[in-house]
Amino acid sequence: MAASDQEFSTVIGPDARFKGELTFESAAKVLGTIDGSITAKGKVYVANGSKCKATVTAKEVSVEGHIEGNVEASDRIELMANGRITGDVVAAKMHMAEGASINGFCRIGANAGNNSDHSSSRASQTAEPKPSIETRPSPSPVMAGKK
Amino acid sequence: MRCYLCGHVSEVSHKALSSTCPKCHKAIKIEDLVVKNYLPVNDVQTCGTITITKKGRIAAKRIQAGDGVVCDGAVEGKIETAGPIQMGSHSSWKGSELFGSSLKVDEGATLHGYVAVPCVVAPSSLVETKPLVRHVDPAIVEDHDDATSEIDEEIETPIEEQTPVAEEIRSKPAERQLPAPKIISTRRAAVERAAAAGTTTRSAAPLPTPKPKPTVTRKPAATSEPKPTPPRAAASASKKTASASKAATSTPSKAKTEPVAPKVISTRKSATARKEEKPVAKATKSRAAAKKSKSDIKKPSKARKSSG
Repeated sequence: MAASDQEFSTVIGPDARFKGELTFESAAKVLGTIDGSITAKGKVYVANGSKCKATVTAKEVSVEGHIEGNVEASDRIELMANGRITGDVVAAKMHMAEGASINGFCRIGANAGNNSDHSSSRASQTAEPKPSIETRPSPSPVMAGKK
Repeated sequence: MRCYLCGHVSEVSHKALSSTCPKCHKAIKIEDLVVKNYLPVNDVQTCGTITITKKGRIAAKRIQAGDGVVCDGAVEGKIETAGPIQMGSHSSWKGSELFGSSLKVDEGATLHGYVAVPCVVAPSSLVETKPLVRHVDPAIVEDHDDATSEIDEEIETPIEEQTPVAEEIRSKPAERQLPAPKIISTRRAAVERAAAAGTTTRSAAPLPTPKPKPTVTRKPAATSEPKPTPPRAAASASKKTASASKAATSTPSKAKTEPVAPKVISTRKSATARKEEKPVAKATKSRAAAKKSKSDIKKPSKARKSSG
């Protein structure tokens, strides 16, 4: 699928290099290199040759380049033959062409977005555990009365 | 055909449905499997292709296919294949891992699990094991021997003769020596530098002179002031002092020479001695009483005898 430039309100050129948090109100086309996170309400298209070391969250994600990070699409993910994703993928629908590459935990389905726990994810296994909250037992009324 | 148990590659006829691996000598399936209904098994293994139809369903621990997996139904379990994996629009997969050379997913498929496509580290059973040396050419072996002999000769000759650079290095040993490492930034050095320059910087603020450690001197007990004590402790202390003063008045020479602590020990000793003495005294008393009673008993008998 050839993505025309008119479809995207923002185009990041091939010589551009961003580091940080990018947020788009509508669709965006990435030809350059991004290090951080990408959030869009519309479609994000990662073109061939571009490299995103970022967490991508959008309604629709189309990958022809390389994404190193978690990808979450509320609607649809499309992986072209040259597309590569190294990270966890969450989407309601996915179309993957033969030759594309995925290395990560996949949750593709209608209920994939609702269930937010990544208990079986490999990435979450490496993450630091949450600090446990210690709760002291409240003094019993008998003991309180004695005192 | 590649054996899914040992990974050995061998040739079989196209019509063969099963065979025995010439390496591991185990029976292996070669036929393509088609799953049309529910198939609950432990392992599904074949060297061919596994096809799961729309109504088909596999619930297995491990699904191994040499040539690939085509899925239109439901699959549960770990999928390992050296070939391509195709997931249809009505297919669903849930498992721990999915390894394959390529993956094609149609829109509408459901996936849940770890996917590694193309698999970087191939599953152990699907790795093709090749012998290190299949055919050894004698000419190659001779060349190899010549090469090793040359290397041995090089090793025997000293390095100095081989390289003219060594002479240069020997002639200028001082230049080769590296300068001694300097400690660049320590706070004390900064202070000294600032003092030499006559300037004061924030970083090079005068260091506080190191305080000498307080020497611990124990004062004699007589000179030390008594600490404030709680009333009970004070009362006990007053009693002790009173008893000590009494003892001092009774035996002034001993009180002056002997400390208080040994006294306590001596009292303990005396108490233990008393305890030991008491039963002995009692025993002697009882023995005496017994003798008396015996004599009293014996006396009337003698009297009777005398009388009789």
